[in-house]
Amino acid sequence: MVDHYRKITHYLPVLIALFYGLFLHSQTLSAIAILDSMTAAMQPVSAKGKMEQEIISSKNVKRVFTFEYYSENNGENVLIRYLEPRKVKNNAFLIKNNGEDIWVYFPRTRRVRKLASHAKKQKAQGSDFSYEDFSGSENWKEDYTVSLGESGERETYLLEFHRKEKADVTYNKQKIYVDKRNYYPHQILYYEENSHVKTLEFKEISEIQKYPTAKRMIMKNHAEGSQTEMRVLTMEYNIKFDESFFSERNLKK
Amino acid sequence: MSENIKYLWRKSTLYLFLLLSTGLSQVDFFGYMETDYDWLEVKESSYGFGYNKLRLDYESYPVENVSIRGNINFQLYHGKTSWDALDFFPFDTLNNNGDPVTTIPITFSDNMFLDNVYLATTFSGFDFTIGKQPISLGSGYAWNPLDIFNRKELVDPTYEQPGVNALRLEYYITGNLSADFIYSPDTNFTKPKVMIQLKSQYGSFDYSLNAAYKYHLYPYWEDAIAVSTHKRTRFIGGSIAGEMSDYGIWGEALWSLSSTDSQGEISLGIDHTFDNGLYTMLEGFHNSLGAEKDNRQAAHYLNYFSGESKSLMQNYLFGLMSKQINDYISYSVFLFGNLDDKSFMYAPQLSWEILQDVTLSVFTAFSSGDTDSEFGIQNKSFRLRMRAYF
Repeated sequence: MVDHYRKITHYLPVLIALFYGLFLHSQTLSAIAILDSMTAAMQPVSAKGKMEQEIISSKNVKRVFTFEYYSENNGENVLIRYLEPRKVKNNAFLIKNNGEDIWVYFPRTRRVRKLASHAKKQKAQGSDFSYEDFSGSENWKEDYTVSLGESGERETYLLEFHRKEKADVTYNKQKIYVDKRNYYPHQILYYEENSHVKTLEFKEISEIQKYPTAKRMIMKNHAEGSQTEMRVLTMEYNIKFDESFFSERNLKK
Repeated sequence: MSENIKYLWRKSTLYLFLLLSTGLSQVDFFGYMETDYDWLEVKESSYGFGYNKLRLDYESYPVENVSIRGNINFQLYHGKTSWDALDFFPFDTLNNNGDPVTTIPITFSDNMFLDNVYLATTFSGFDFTIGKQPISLGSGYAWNPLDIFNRKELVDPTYEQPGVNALRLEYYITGNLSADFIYSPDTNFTKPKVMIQLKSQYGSFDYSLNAAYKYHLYPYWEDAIAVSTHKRTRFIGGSIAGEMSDYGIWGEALWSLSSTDSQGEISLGIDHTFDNGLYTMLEGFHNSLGAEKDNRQAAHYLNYFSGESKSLMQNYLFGLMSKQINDYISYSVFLFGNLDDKSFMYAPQLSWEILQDVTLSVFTAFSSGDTDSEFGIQNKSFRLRMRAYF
């Protein structure tokens, strides 16, 4: 009998570790399932729209940009073409493979320049969004480990992302509050070196072609005291693009 | 009314008519107005000069897949407009077949011209562009050996280039393989420039294979005096642009196929953006036809100033650091130099977006090197430039 207890005591730590591991595994699975549901909800396979971006500086000076937005493969490939203001009219960006390949087009010189992916850390047209922020949702899985946290709210899940060791991304941590009803995010908190630097808020969420869509997205830059608001003017989903649409050729049009 | 104003008026009327004839209701007009004030100190003399420029862009889509585009430039100079090129040479006189040349006058006159006017058509597998058009080839920032149509200025390498009269056919063979054919005739169709480019991707790299043909300027020596001649030359070359270990790298080369006059140009560059947004870049350039270290001759200067050669000497370096200070102000520092005569320019620049479409930039440059070196001959300079888009 004593031997029997001894055996149990001997294997107890292993059993606890196994049980804890299984528990953690189920937690991770659950977090990934929520992440999958969220990316499916917020990034339809393809999209085409017109958007407005208002940058408000810390001194309350405003600038407004208007651009056309095209995406496919759940945001894996994105094409952005600026319409306004005149300074950047027809400037265009092609972002492929979730931000790994970036090309920029300057219409006055008709020059296409390939940017190294480190350029995605730069601000897009001086806004509080970096090119990295436009990248597809696949980056969340590739560059971060995801876990489920305590949101402290009944209506939201909290997904916590921690940067993988060799991932080349700016933010070391992200937190996303996800609506339990439609899996659409309420807000994303971005951290650099564990310091909370930016918050992206999703406002005026309504359905377009059955996909929840935030008509307003506000990126607040806590480090610089500025903010950029992205407004959806028109949006259409499930567009069938030509095979060559996300190409250098189309970038120059 | 002066002859100059009459000339400008006649030209204005002509261009207005041209624009109206394309169908005013379908034409989109935009552009910018630029004011530039410069101050320069050369050989212990200082000069003030500048210009007011209006660039009027237009684009029209008369039918689907066809566009007519271009721009008209109006440029009015102020300050010093008559120059002596010898002020920028380390010689006081030149020898022209035994006759001394003590001045090479250059005058900038107010002008207006159709910088670009071209028709671009798109078909299912190819694009065709004809007319005076912007052409920009190669992956380099400060130097583009592959660009046989243009030459960049080191003090402002991203400034727009003048239009090139050309026919261009871009054929898209597959999703990531294209063939580009550019033919640019000269005034009497006897000495054209031709460029053929195959462009594709491999992994994270874009690359191109090029073949070119042009009448290239070669300096040679006659009784110890450098003179120059144009020779029909075929070139091969290529370019790459991609990324390795978080560093962007690019390079391009164009080299002649002639065994007797083997010559060419190579550029290589690397860049990196730090997590705090600081952008850094370094690019090197070699031009085998540039002057050798101890053999700078007037012909080298003349070839360079006339735009025939991309550099005065053989080996150069260009570095850039830039950072967005806040939403509206960015700061850049350029450092470029001639590695052969060890002369360098250090140029900080501040760019401020005063209003949504108005940019003010302040540029200063300081040189180092011997007083007869390429950059050392110029002590310092200052430029104030304001550009307003409409």
